Amino acid sequence: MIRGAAEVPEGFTVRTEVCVVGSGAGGGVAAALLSEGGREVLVLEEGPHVPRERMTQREEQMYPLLYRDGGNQLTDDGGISVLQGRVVGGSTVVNMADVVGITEEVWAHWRTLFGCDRWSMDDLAEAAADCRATIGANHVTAEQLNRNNALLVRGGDRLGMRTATMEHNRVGCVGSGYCLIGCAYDAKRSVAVSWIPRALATGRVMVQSEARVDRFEHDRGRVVAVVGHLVRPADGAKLAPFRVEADTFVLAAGAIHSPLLLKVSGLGGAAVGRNLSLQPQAPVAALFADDVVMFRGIPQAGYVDAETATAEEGLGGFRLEAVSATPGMSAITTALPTADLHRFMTRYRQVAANLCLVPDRPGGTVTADRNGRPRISYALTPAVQATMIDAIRTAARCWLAAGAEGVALPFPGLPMARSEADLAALDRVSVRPASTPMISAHPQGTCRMGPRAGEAVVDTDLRLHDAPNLSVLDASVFPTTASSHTQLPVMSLAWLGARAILERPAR
Amino acid sequence: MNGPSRRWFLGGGLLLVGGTLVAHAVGHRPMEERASAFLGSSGRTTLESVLEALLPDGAPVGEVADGIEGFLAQGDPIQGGQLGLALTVLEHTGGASLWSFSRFSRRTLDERREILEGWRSSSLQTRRQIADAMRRVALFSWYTREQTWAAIGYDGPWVHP
Ligand SMILES: Cc1cc2nc3c(=O)[nH]c(=O)nc-3n(C[C@H](O)[C@H](O)[C@H](O)COP(=O)(O)OP(=O)(O)OC[C@H]3O[C@@H](n4cnc5c(N)ncnc54)[C@H](O)[C@@H]3O)c2cc1C
Ligand code: SF4
Repeated sequence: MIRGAAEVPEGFTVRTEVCVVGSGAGGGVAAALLSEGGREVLVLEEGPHVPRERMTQREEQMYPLLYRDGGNQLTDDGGISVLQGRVVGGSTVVNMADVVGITEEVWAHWRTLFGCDRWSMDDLAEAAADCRATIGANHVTAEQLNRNNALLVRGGDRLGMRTATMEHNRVGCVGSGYCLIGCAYDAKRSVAVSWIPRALATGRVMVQSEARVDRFEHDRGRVVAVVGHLVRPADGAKLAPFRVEADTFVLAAGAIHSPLLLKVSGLGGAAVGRNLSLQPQAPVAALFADDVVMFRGIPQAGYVDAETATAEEGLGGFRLEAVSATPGMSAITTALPTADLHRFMTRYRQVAANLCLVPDRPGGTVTADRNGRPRISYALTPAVQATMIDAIRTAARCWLAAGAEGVALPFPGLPMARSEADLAALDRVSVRPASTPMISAHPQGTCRMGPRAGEAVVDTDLRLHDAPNLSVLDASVFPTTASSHTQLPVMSLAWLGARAILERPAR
Repeated sequence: MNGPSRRWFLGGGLLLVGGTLVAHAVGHRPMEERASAFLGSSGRTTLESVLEALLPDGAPVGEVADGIEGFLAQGDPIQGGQLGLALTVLEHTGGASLWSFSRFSRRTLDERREILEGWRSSSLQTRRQIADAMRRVALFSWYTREQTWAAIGYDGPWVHP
C-alpha cells in the first residue's frame, strides 16, 4: 500500500522490523529484497506518489512536482544544478533510463585502493542480473535512434571515435521524449513501476509518501528510531509529526540527503558528507538546416565514447550523449547571448543537443546550512575543467562533422561556432561557476564504503561503522565514481547490501 | 545561492544613495510601480524591467511576471526569498557604473540588456549568480508558455489531462 500525508492527518508512531528512508533506486530495491526475505518494511518517502495519470508533460508543472527544489538545487557557488527526484521512485522517475553497470576495472579499483573486497565480480553480476530483469533492461537498436541521436553518432563515426547505442530500461516506449519530466505511459520502468510493485506484492510493505525524515535517534551504537514530519509537497510545509521505531534501518535518501541526515543526527563519523563526486555535464547545442526534432523519440540513446576505465585510476575521459530538451530547459541551458538565443529558439525544431559527461574525482562536500538544508560545495579541478573543455570541443566537432551549420558553445559571450577554426575560441575560456550552464544527475560518494571507520562511513557490508543496524544503500556509498550512469550501480549495491542484512538475525 | 556579503551590501548601499541622486539629476522616470502580492511593488518593478530586457521585444511582461509571482507564492518560501534578494541587489547595484548612478529599473532598455549580459561573464561570482538566476526565471517562464510554442515549432504535450 502507498499512502500520502492526507491519509494520516494526525501523524503516527509505529514500530516495524525495517524502516527504509527514501524510495529511489536504493530504497526501492531494499524494500523489495528485505520484504521478500520475510521482513516487515515501512518505507518513508518525502516526495509524493505521482502515478502516470498525473504526468502532464508540462515542464512548469513537473519540475516542481517531481524534483528536489523544483530542479533548482544548486551547488553553493551556483555553478551546477544538482538534479534529484523527490517522488516515490526517487530519481529513477525523472532519469534518462540508461543502464550502465559497474565495470570490472572500477570494481578492481575499489577492491584494491579502497579495500572493498566483501563481494566478488560474480556477486555483482548476480545482483545486476536481477536488477536488469526487474527494470526490463534491453538494448536500443540503431533503427530506434531519433535524428538527434543518429546525427551525434554519425558525427562521432566521421571523426573515427567509438560510438554505440545504449542499454535502457524502457519497454513499449512511444517516443514522446519526456523522460526527464516523468513517463506518462509507464514505459520507463522506474523504481515506482518496477521495484515498488515487486515489494508491495509481498504484502509486507507499506510506503508512506510525503513523509520527511528529520533525524535518527540512537543510543549506544544502535539506531532506535527516526523522527520526522509529514509535508505538503507543493511548498514543503510541515504537517503532523511521526516517529518510527525499528530493528533495522536503511538509509537511501540519495547522495545529498543521506549524509545530511547522518550529520544532523550525529552519526557517520568524520568522513560523512565528504568525497562528493558530481560527474558534471555541460550542454552543447547545434543548429541544422532541416528538422531534427530532438524533443521527440528516445531521448538519450546513442553516444560517443571517450571514457577510460583502469583498475589504477577508475573512470576517466568523457562521454558525449545525445539528449532531448523541452523548450524551457533548452532555453536556460543554451548560453548564447540573449538576443541570439531567441533567434536560435525560433528554429527549435532544427536544434540538436548533447551533454558532455565527465567522470570526476571525489572532492566536494555536503554540510547543513543554517536552515538545515544541504550546502553543496564543489569546485571543478583544473583537470576536470580541461577534460570538460576537451569534451565540449569534441562535441562541437562531431556536430560540425554531421553537417551542423553552427554550434552553440556553453560559454556566455561566445557566438555560434560555424567551423572548426571557430573552435579556437575554446582555447581562451574557462569553466566558471554560474557562467557555463552545468548539471549533475549523478551525485555520489558522500557516505563512502570502506573497512576503516574515520576514512569511510559504512563498512564493506554497507553498515554504518558507528551504528551497524543502519545500512546506507544508495549512491552515497561509492568510493569513487561508479559508472557513467548510476541507477544500475545503486540498485546492484543495494541488492547486495540488502542480502547482507538478511544474512544476519532480524534483531 | 550564497547571500552577498555584508561588505558587498554596504558598497551597494552607497551606490544606491548616489544612484538616487543622479537619477533625479538626469531626470530618469522610474517605471510605474506595480502592486504585488509576493515580491512587493519594488521587487515587482525590477522583475518587469528584467523581463523586458530578457524576453523578445513586445513580450507581455506583466502577464509573465504575474505567472512568476503566482508560482513563487505557491512554492518554497526560501527559494522565493532568494529571488527577492537577487532582485533587490540587482535593482540597487545593477544600474551603477563609474560614471553614473541609477536604479536598474530606471536604466534604458539597451542599458539593462547590456548590464545583464555583462554580469553573465563578470569576474564577481555574485553578479554571475544573479544574472544566471534572472535568465533562468525569465527564459523558463517564457518558453513554457503555450502561447510561445507556435513561434518555435513545438507541438506541445502529447497527453492532455
Ligand atoms: C535528471 C536525471 C537523469 C538521470 N539519468 C540517468 C540515466 O539515464 N541512467 C542512470 O543510470 N542514472 C541516471 N540518473 C541517476 C539515477 O537515477 C540515480 O543515480 C539514482 O536514482 C540514485 O539512487 P538513490 O537511491 O541514491 O537516490 P534517489 O533515487 O534520488 O532516491 C532518493 C529518495 O530519497 C528521498 N529522500 C531524500 N531525503 C529524504 C528524507 N529526509 N526523508 C524521506 N525521504 C527522503 C528523495 O525524495 C528520493 O525520492 C539520473 C538522475 C537524474 C536526476
Ligand atoms: S520517451 Fe519513452 S520512456 Fe521516455 S517518457 Fe516518452 S514514452 Fe516514456
